[in-house]
Amino acid sequence: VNVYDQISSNSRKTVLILLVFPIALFVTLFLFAILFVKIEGARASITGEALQYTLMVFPWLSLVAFIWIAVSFYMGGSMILGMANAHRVTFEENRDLFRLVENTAIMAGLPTPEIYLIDDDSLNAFATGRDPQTGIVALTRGIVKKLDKDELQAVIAHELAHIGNRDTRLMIITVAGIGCFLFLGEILLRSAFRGAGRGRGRGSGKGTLVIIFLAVACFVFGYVIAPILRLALSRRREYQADATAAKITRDPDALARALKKIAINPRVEALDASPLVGNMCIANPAKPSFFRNLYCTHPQIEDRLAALGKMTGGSDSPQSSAPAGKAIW
Amino acid sequence: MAFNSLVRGRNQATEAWSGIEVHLKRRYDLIPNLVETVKGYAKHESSTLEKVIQARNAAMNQGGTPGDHSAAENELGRSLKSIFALSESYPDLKANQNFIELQKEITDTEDKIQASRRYYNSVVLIFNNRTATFPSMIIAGMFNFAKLAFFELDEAEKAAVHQPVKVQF
Repeated sequence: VNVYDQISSNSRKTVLILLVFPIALFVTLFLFAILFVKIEGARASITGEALQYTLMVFPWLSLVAFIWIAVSFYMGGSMILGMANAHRVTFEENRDLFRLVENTAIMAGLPTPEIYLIDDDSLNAFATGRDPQTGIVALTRGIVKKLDKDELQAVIAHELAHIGNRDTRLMIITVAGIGCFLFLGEILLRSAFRGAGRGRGRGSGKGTLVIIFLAVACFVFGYVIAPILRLALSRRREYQADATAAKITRDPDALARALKKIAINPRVEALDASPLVGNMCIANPAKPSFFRNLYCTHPQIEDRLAALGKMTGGSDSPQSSAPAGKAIW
Repeated sequence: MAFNSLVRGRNQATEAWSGIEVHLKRRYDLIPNLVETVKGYAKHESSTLEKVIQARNAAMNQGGTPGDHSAAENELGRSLKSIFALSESYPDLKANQNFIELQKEITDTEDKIQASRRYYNSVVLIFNNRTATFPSMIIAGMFNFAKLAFFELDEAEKAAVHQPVKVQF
């Protein structure tokens, strides 16, 4: 698949997600409003009253979500880096690393991204940024230390491929959209419980119920969207980034070696609490668990190795089959 | 559509080529410094240094096309290699901080030339494929989109830059 096809397909998906998000939100709220009206007992028509409730809440929620997504679109990179405890690497601090990234970016035909180091001995890396100009590549201290130059370059190329294919932009938007509602749900639920604890009795019962309903609606939205996210962020993009990285460095073997080493210890403790960020990493940084696997968009390392193996095998086979051909003659 | 993609491809190639030129120019700029530094230590090697300067000037005066550049840049790379080989027999020079810095800079610049060359060639490959494959080749013929030249450097030179020359005494 051509890189430009990948970029335009990702741009289309981004627009699609921005359209689907509000529609799905409206539908979810409406369904919950119907449920609420049924429990409360409707005065006139159920749908009419539910629609009224929905129209009351929907603009506010969308406004919050819109601001949230816009803020993370422009600052998401630094937020994630803050979460991961990463600090920026300057040319003076680490010339070799800086030059390696610079040269890989030149090979990929992209501007040099900002480089960040995560203070962790495990092996992982991620990329973020809304476009190539604001690209960021973050590497753990462990990956810089334990991989040799070619392997590290392959990893950097993989991350640059995500930036170049505009995977990172799509990622920021979806992650922010989902995170926003999970966060809102949690806040609403907490305030509902606090409210119920304080003012028990007259009048506050209905208000608390509304808030709980809203909170559950937010959670459902956040979790219902997850499958859509998984569809949009199909596992193919990891293979795609692997393939692009192999093309950039002309060395699929180095990437395969790097992936093998990374597979041993990809766990970044700072990212344990944020499984959504894990989607951006070269290998899943969280402790494996069933719940997290629901969100995991990474294919198994074995499958990726197999795909890379085919690339090296493809270029090797003419040579290796030649002697066999001679033997027959 | 085909027309647009051809134009885009050609613009990308032009941009990629100017990316290479930046690094080539940096190498031209570094060479006089290198020559000055070496001169102080190795006075008897003026012919080697002369050759480097000549190669540099020849490369600098090449016209804009990648095809013209390839040969001159190859020559320059080889002559630079001879300077670094020469440093082996002048321990003082080899230990000179300035020389070490310059050697690093030049190695890095050569890496960057290789990197940008690779990008340029991959862009040219895509463009040339477009001018030669079915729907777009008709448009390419109509509007005179000519194939672009690759920028070739010998891989031997790159290997030589990466592995310090081994000299036996």
